Amino acid sequence: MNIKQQFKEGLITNNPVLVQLLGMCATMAITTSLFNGIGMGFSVLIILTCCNVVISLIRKIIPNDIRLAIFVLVIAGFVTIVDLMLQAFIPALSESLGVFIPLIVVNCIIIGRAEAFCQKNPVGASFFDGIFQGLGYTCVLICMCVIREFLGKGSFGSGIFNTTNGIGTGSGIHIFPSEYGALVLTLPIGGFITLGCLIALMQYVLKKSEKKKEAKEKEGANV
Amino acid sequence: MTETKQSGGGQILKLALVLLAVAAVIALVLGVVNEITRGPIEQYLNGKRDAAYAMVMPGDGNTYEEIDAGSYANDPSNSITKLSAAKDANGNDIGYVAETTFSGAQGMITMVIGLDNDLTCTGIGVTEHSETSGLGAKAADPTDPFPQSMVGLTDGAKLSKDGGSVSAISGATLTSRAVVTEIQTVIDAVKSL
Amino acid sequence: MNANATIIEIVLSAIFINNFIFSQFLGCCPFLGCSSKIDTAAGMGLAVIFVMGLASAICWIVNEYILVTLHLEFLQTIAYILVIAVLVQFVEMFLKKSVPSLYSALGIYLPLITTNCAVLGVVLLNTQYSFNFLQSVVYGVTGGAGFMLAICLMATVREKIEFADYPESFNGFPIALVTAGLIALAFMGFSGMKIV
Repeated sequence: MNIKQQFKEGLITNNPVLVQLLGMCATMAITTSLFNGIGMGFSVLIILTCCNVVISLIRKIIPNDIRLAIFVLVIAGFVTIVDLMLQAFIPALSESLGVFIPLIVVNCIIIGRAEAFCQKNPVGASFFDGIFQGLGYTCVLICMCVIREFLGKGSFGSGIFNTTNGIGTGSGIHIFPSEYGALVLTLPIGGFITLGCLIALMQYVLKKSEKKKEAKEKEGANV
Repeated sequence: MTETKQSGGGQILKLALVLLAVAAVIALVLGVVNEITRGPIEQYLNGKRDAAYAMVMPGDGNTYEEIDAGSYANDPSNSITKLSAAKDANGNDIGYVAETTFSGAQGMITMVIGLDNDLTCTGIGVTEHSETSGLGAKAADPTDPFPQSMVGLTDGAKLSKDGGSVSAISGATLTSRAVVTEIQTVIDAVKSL
Repeated sequence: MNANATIIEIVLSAIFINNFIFSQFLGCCPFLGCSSKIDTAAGMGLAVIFVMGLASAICWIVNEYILVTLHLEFLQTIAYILVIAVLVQFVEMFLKKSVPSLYSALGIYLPLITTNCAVLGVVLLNTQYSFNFLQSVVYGVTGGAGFMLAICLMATVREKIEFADYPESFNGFPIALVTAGLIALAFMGFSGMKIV
């Protein structure tokens, strides 16, 4: 498996959220501002990459019977490190993500990748897998944030642009007055519906590209 | 998680040892990280509290002296977690600052409330909350008219919906009512001193 | 919610007002994965109630008597997830030996609960709200009941949706998510409720 293929898989054809349907809880819960989305995305990216590397390194010495217990331990360790670091150095982010940082432990993406990929692949490939899957996750989060924020509050990039009082306090760029926004999209309901539509879009695109491929193959066969 | 197989005691012991070793290494690493981050976390929390105090009590160099919890009347839910008497840089009494935790519309709100000597509110600062973003969350935004309108609130103030004169955040009556009621609780507590 | 919440407040809040699925997004993966049939949904719901109640009790004891006494609060996440993993394993072994009928009913859902974020979520929230032992257990059990209510509602709706006419791209998860969104909208009606 080469890097290019891994990149494409992580971001599109095997995207952790839109195709593998993993890690939905956080995807819906915290995507109300761009700041949250980027923060959560990169936290997961870092944890996923570290876990992938460590698990791939120790994959030959861990007994098969207790591999899941060890995976969970390693993951929980890295999550706690990131949690403490965020509390200490980016407290605004830690506060707005709240309980969802420790909950990365049970984010199925991480244990899913450990089980499906790192057990069988060398360190290098696992490292890139972590980065690309993490990036795929981050991209989905950013998409969700941009859509929900724009339609719900009429702003873009809240928490990042127009900061007044340190990082995380900005009100974002206002595109239209927030009174005209569909507030419902920033509430839990908006999370469910936006994600549903994004996955539907993904299924549509994937199906279309598959059909195109088939048509091309048919054409090739005819010639 | 771990698959249980019918295996000998030696095998189980080996598994337990491996698991223990992994857990020990991770605990050690976490201990080190905890040592590094403890200072900044504490500093941040203190800084946040100081900032909230400064927001509700004007003036530089104020000092705060905690009042014993037994000496004032707290409401039934014990919402006041800390009540302090405020003194300015010259040692004159300038009022009271209370740290409170009470339930809003969605979850708990943690707020600092300042009162001057005439029991008039000098400001509020919400430090933690989980109110609906865009509605109740406005109470935590210092630039919103609602928290600003809390300045100057006196004993007996009520929302206009409840027969008073304070206008609530539109769409977030519960949050607004909770905040106004809490200010009244603090006023009552100070009156009972 | 805080340490002063009464039992009735906790019960109503966990089941309706702050339902784990519809307002806190905890436990969405099994919620979407196991809600296509009412039987499996009910089985999953029962298993979750059971594990959430037990996990709340044990994690409270671990936190109070081990972590807090030894000043190891920073190991919370790791300790809780271990407790949950071991607990699920034990429950599975116990049921297999003594209540085989229940074991076969819950079947594959038991191991899945380890990675259900509602379980880890509830124990973390118990600590965050500084609940006492009784409050923690009640919050755990009723939180699980809220989960069961949500997943059963969802399953009944999904069984009907199979006959509905919706765009093909929405097949599977997307339509389930949109449905969940609409149920969440109905649950929002509870959020105005305030128990004094």
